[in-house]
Amino acid sequence: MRQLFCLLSCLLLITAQCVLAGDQQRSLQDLSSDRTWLKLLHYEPKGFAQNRLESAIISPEFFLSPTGDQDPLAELIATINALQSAIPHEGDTHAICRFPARALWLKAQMGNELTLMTDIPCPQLDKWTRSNSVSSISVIFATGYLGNPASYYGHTLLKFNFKDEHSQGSLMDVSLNYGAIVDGNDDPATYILKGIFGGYDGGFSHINFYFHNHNYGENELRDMWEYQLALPQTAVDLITAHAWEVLGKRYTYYFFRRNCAFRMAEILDVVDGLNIVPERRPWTIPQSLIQNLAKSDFKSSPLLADIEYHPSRQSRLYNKYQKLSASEQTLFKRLALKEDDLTDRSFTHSPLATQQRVLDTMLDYYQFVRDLESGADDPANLAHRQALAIRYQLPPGIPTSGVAQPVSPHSGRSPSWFQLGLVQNSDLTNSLSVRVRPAYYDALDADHAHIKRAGLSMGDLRLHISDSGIRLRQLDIISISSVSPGLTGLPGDTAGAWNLKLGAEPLRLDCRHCLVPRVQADRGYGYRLNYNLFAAAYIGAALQENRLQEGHGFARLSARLDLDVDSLWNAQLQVEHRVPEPGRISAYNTVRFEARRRLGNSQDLRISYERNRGEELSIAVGWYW
Amino acid sequence: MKIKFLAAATVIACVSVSAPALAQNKAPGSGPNPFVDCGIGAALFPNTGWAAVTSNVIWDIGTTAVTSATMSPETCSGKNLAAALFINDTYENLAEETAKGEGEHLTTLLNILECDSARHPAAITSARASLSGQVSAEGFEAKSHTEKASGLFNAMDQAVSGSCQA
Repeated sequence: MRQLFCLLSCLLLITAQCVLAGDQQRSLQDLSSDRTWLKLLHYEPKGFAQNRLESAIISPEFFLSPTGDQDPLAELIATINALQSAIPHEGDTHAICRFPARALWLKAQMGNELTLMTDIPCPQLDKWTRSNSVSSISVIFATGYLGNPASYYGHTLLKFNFKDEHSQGSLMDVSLNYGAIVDGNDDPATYILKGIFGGYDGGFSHINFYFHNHNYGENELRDMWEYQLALPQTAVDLITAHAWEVLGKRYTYYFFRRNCAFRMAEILDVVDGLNIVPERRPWTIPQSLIQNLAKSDFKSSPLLADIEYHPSRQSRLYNKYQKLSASEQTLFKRLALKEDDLTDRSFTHSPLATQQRVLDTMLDYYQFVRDLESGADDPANLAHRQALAIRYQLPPGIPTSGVAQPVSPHSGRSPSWFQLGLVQNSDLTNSLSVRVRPAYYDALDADHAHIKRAGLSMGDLRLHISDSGIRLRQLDIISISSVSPGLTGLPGDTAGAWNLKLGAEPLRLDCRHCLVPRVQADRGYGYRLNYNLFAAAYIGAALQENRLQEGHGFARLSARLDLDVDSLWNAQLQVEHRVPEPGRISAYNTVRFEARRRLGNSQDLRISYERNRGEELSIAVGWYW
Repeated sequence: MKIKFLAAATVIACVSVSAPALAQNKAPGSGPNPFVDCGIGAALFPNTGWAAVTSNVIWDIGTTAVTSATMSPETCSGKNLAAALFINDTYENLAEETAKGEGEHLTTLLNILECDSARHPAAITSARASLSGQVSAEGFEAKSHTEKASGLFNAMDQAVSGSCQA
């Protein structure tokens, strides 16, 4: 009987252990398929049927299991074993130092089932987190810059904020940046192609915020917006720990979708309840991400805690200039143009506040226009030094503080546009027009996140649908219209302008099938006639397919006039005088007029008239999405 | 300033100084000049190419711009190095804010040099006097960036030494 009892007990014990083991294994299986675990390892659907997972991180050292890049369960088991390893490690090589976010999350999920080696020192991790004292996290948005294709749509960074005894100021906070790892030897065309099609590895790097603040604000003249997130400390700790995990690891960089904004949002999305990666898009535009942040809640509270504006040198110059009185502006310009001198009575006998304001504006102006590396060869460097020397001699103080804060990009409209309208052509049938512009803006709808009076669009597709069928009216693969504000009008701050367009356009409007591939470019200058009226003139040329005897291209003189009627209506008139290559058709003129009425933040109405040997009139409604 | 290649910043960015400075036994503001003794700002600019200036390019996180062959590790590490790197990257803003007597960069630099906030006004007054002499000198605009940054470091170092000691 005793033997039977023992046998039964042993059988029960064995059975119980099997059941427990089975439960634990099921539990590990559940953990390995948990959203957070998949996010921490950056698993993505792969394969033709999207039925297998593979990590977006391609660095082998990110995984503890040999199959960890494709097997969440194997990686989970390997991680648990490594976290519980008592084997001494040098430096920050123990798993708890390398993968603190995994440790945090697994401990929260497994409780006492997981024994963490809490006495393992992690000196580098402690140094980076300043002994785990990150108090909040901000998303930094640098506005777009038309001087470099990679920067057209802006850029996003993460900033880890410290406070109290761990803070030396916001400029010393840690920033995290994702970008392509470029060896610097590629020509522009290779750079663009590799960036689009995954020819570069991508990765995160970290540096004190002042570096990016200076780079964007002083060198690239781009404003930055800081969006501080309202997250509990546990979420801040998890995101910070995960940022540490991915530092130095490599991804494949893709410019359109899996770019800086996408990867940065992934770091935030490890927190359960956050889902800010713009979905259902083949692209990720940084401004869309910011707009998602602004609309998002976290545990029933708004995700955004605070917004701070970091103006560029150019914005600070324009702000100071606009705050000068009329007489101060006159004095500033006379000094900048060397019509007056800083030793003249016109300056020295001005009130102290005037001297300080004018000098501060001069310092911004010279800093904006000078070439530092030219030293004494650039007169602006001497002028800057002289203004700075006088500023040191004046009593300290800033008479007019603060920069007027423009409307934040997060409150702008969505970046993509769909338009539906009616078209009447003088020689052809009337049509229904359909237009899709995935990104981004033109001179009439440029708003807070964009460059005023400029334009940037990619993949702008226009179709005309009539009884004759569907016809491609125009395709702008890329179209850029850049205009410098030129607010002061002083040397170095004039409204230089340039255009670049690649796509297919109709040769003329009185033919049905005369679309030609065309590349065109212009260079010119603009002038603010008054606050509401802007004019520009260009000289340029185009290369195209030779059809209908119109030759391989033309030179042109063109002009534009932009009118802001009020807060709802604006319009643009463009005229061109085209001179085809010799021996072809005679020179001819084209005219294009377009008026836009804003209908809220997500719609607009446009009326346009165009003449190019034929005429076209259209009215259309657009939706931003 | 007009757009220019960030060769120096690319190199300098390699050095991670994201943590507060290691504690030093020396009093605040004393010590050699990292610009002179650690190679900051020296001609170590790599051929970055035109693409390197784009914000979408990460900075090389595997190299360092600091050589400490001639001086002690204290000179080329800790708060002196952090201050020198900060000055090197933000010199223009620092020079202007010091002239105005206030500004975020100026406050940050004094924090890096471990000057108590209550003593900032005294340190700024001292630094202004010193930098005023530098900037007023003929030919200052012809000096290299490293020379100017080094001069600012010295001015700040002396100001902190004279005004921030307990």
